[in-house]
Amino acid sequence: MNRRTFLSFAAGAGAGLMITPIPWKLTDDISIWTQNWKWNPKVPKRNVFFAEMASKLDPAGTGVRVALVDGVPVGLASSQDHPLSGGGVSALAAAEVGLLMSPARVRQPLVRTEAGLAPISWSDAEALLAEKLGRAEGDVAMISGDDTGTANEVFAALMHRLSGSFYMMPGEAQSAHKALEKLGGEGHLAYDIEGADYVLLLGADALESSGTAVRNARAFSQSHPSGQPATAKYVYAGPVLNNTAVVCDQWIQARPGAAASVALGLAHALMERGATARANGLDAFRRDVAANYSPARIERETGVRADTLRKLAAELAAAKRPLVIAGSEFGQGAGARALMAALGLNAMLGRINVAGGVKIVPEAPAVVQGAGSAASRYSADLVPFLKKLAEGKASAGVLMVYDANPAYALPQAELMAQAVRRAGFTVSFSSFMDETAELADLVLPSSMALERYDDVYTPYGAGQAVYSLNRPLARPAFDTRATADVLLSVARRLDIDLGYLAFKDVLRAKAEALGADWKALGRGAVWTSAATTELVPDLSAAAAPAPRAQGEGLLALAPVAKHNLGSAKVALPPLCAATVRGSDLMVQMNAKTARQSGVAEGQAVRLSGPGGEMTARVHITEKVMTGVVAAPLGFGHTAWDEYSRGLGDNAYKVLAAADDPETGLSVWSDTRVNIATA
Amino acid sequence: MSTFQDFPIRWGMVIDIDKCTGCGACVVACNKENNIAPQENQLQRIAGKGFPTRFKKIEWLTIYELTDGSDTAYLPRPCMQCGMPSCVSVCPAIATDKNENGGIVSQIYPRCFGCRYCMASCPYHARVFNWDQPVWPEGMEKQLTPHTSVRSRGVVEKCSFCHHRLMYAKDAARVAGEDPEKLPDGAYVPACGEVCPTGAITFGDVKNPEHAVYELVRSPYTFRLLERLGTDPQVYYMSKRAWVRLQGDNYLANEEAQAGEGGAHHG
Amino acid sequence: MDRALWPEGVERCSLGKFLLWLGACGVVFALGAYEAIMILFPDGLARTALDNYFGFGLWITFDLAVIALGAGAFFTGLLKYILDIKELEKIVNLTVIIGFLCYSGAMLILALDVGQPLRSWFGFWHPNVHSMLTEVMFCITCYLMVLTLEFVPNILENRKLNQIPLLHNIAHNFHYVMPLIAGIGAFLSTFHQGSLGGMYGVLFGRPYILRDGFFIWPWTFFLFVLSAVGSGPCFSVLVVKLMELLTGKTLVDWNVKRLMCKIAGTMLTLYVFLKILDTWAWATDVLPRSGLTWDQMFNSELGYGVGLLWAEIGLGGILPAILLMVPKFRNTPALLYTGAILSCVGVTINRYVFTVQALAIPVMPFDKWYDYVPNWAEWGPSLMVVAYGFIVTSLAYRYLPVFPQEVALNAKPAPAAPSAPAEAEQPA
Repeated sequence: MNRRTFLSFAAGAGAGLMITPIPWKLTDDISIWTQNWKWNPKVPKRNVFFAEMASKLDPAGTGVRVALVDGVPVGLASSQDHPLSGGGVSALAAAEVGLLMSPARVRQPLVRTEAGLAPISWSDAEALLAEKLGRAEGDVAMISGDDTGTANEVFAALMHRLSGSFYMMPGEAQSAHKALEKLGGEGHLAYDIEGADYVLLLGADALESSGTAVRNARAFSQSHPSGQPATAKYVYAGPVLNNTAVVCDQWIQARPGAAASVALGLAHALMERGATARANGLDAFRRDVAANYSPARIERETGVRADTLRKLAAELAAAKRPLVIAGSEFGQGAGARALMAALGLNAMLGRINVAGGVKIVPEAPAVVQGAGSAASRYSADLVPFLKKLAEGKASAGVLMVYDANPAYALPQAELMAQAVRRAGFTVSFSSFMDETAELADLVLPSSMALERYDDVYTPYGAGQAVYSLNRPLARPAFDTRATADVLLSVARRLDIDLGYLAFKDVLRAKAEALGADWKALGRGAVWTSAATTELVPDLSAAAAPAPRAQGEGLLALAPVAKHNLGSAKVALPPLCAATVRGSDLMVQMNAKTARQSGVAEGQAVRLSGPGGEMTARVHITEKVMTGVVAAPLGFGHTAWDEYSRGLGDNAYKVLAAADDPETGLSVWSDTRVNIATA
Repeated sequence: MSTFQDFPIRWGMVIDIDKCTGCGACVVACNKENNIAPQENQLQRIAGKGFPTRFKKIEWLTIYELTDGSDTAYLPRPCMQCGMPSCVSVCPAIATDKNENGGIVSQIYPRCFGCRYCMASCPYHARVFNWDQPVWPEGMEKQLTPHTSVRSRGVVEKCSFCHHRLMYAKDAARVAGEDPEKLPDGAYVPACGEVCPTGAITFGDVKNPEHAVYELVRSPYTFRLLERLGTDPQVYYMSKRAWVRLQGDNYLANEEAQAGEGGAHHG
Repeated sequence: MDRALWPEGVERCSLGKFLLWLGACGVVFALGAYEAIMILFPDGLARTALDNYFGFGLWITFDLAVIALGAGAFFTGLLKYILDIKELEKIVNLTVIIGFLCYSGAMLILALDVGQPLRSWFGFWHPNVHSMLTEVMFCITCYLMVLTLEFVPNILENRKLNQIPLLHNIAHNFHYVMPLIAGIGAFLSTFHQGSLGGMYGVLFGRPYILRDGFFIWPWTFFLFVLSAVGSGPCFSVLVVKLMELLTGKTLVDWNVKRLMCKIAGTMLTLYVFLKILDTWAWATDVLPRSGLTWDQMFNSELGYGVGLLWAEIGLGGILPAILLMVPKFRNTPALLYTGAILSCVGVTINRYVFTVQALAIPVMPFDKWYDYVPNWAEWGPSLMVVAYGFIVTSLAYRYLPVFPQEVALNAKPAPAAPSAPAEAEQPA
């Protein structure tokens, strides 16, 4: 062979190979293989259907549309027409679908054995619970964290029949009921925020974690068209530039727990200008305000300068439709004081029973006999009871916990966990393996909102009566049941007839009682009513001096609630983990406070307060007022799953509740802490 | 540098920074809609093997926290869908292109071979890479949406302005007997814009006077990120605060005075 | 034992010693290959310290650096075959081998660096005519083929292989077409060396590396070519010197080394002059019109200080240019080699700052500086390629007639016969 033949052969072979399918098929195959590796999940290819639902996870009760493919919930879209959302979806609601498959979900009923929690069948579990309840002879307590559902009527009625006690988890809803009661009213406090042209938020994180936050955000949005002058002014008074304050037109720096004082200081300033109110008990109110809430005193106690206070009062007086919404900066612990004071202030501004102001929405009619009224269900104070239980001064033969995590999300959290342990027989109905369920003797996992019948009636802060019905949109992912149904069944085992076979029937009765169309509700329609009750408040107790701050430390503690990090009920959802910043995990203070405390950016510190200690690193930011250290809520979980367990520390440990016999609701919104390097 | 078509429609997103609370609902909605797995497990899989995890997270929409030392603002940053994309001209396999009416910059996962040149060229860090194969927590892979495919290891991905929603909106228009190229305001909105509780995100065709964004992009408070680089972004930001607008671009000391007035550049 | 495979008239060390040497290189190779395999199969690029901020890192720097240093191949080839500088004949075989190793090594690293290596051919099948990287892919692949074609005849000239008539013919015929191949190689090489620079210069989202230019070619296009030819020949000389140190032989005579370095020095001088002009133009035009200042481009705390720039231009540019251009310095071996080393260091710093520092600099005002430190998953395969280079060079040196001057330069004077008059032989 010579060169020419070799080259010809090579060229021929090359050309020949090119016209065989071999190289083309191979490259085509490679490009297909590289798209279809077996270990990558495949997406469904079917149509998406939407069904309406009201979020039970998000206290805002936002209406959402669940996207379903082949009966599997795959996402959440907004519900334009729902009065509580107007198209918005909070981070927490958006994560609800993903929580369905969260690793923390309890997948079947569990009973405590020597070796830990072991599976048990539903019938055995119900039998066990019935037996325990029967033998407890009235030494029974139930805690519910569901502020909007009719399920509470079933629970309260059962407790009534068993001569047990019923507690609602402390929060803004309880504070509102108590405040209204103290002022001689009854029903739901409703804020017509859409109609206001000046909204003063005292502590209440109304655009993020307090009340009907999504609806409030929508109202804020309408009044602040992009690029145009705002048609309402939103002012936030609080210690931290939180998610609400960062978009408000003005941030007034006020120390933690100062909402009541600032409200009464404003009342004082208004009184200086000669304002009066259509209310009873005015003399006592005036007297208390004049004695204890002068602007000079307010400046000392809350950090709000006297001239700022007077200017604010002037703006309130000048506004056509001002509205004052007060509350805890972190969704619990303000007791009834802040709301009582704010009602007094709203009364002085003439903003009660008017459009754009505070209205009273009647309670929904009760449909389960023995359930009592909503106000009565909110009357018992949980934290003192649990403290006594932990200290052995009270007992609970059976303690049942629904939609709440008291072992984590209450002040002196470690003591609260002790209480749960000390109860004779603890039952958790949690959908997730939370701190309380981990301590429980029996875990009867509740189906999630997507998987059960449930309802939402007028969440705290809603501007009118609103009623949504949830049907099960997906088959339960695991062996779980709706708790109301479980307890109806357990009641039957105890020969207690609560009047209904299934919870669905309770809801049907509720709809009927409200005058709502059951079928329409089932299709996702929302029942509303503009009916209100008139309130002529009795302000005699509204300005009574409040309990002092808890703790002896140099810094005021400002717990911060951001719902993308979880809430009091649910730890960081898997889908929200993406939104956590490094600084979210840190305690925050401004440069001046850091200098005074001798700490630097990134330094590990220990915060010690009246309830206990927490550790964290320091982040320096001007989002916190001087003399205050802000601590994030929602971290430091010891249960749940890998998304939250072991991340950060639990700020609830540091808080401690103080009794407030005047109002019957303990408070923990004004806590002093000390900081030391860890 | 190549030039790009001037399309009849120009999809634009206007983000009012003064209304952004930093709540993160947009990020959560985006991740769910576009089949982005919760990254915890992903990063733990990497960390568990002893490898570095910094900046290996998949996230299409990132929220930055801005401050001037006393005030704070939040800035959500999706893909800018640049009118003059620095990424499209550099991709060696045309896995990313700007060739559709509306101007959304595409990212074709089966075409991308992961050279990451586009990531080097994007100054907005809008593009992320699949350093590892996607890991879904058990059970969550059953909740994938049909909207976007799952991306495998080794390809770049980025925000697509929820392009699948544009397709659905056009289909809906066709079924209703309307013109798919003349969608009314609000017929097509990406997931982030849909869920924002404060309505900070407005979306539409900036060339269409009937769309809300038309007026918004002409506001004196509107600015775009890094405009002077010549990227012509289709994401617009608004703020009444001069210090926020000043952080939208780099300015020399003597330029800041004029820049604070706010520019009304619009597409 | 393998004496029959050695080129004519040369001496090599024992096979055992050679195998030991290969084994040592092989260990480094294996350690790196393990990382490469772990990346390709179970772990993916998650194994590395690359991330979303630093999509380019050690490997791209390494690739660009070895491609620049391997420029000795095309430039020497161009000068020898096209401009007919006969002296370079003595070293051209080695430069081809270095080039082949640099480019094949770069391709190996690139196959590892992309996320989906099986799809690499998409760049050929779906080329983007606007992208500099497309140009790079095509040219580098074609050039690697060219280098292979240039390397093949050397392989076929192995003593044993050359005895096979067919192979001998092929090698013989290759030499006829070598000028054509060298010309093609020079053309391809100029373009991709330039396009590698162009890749950075077109990035208008990164003002640090953005440059104006001539038509579609940013100035970095030309600067990269010049810096490559200003250091490639130096690298070839350094490799020869290293081989001489390791083998104890003289492989290429001093004049050739000096000539290579003079050529590199000339190109380096031109490069440094233009580089300084370019840096000034960038600092006074590109930066201010992007709203950025000189100081914002550097961060000494993280290791991206302006000192690197002075090192690149001064220590790695002006100083070696002087050392290589001034005859007094060039004629002093210590200074020549210093100059060569500094030239190579300079081009490496340049490739590093263009790749890594460019990505470290924040462009959005609220973004931050970050630093990048490669981990073993990246160093390993890089060292694997270096080991690969050592192994192939060692094999080529042992078995192929790489150095035409070797026999003459290492001829020992004949031992003095006891009775016959001694005849001293002078080295050629």
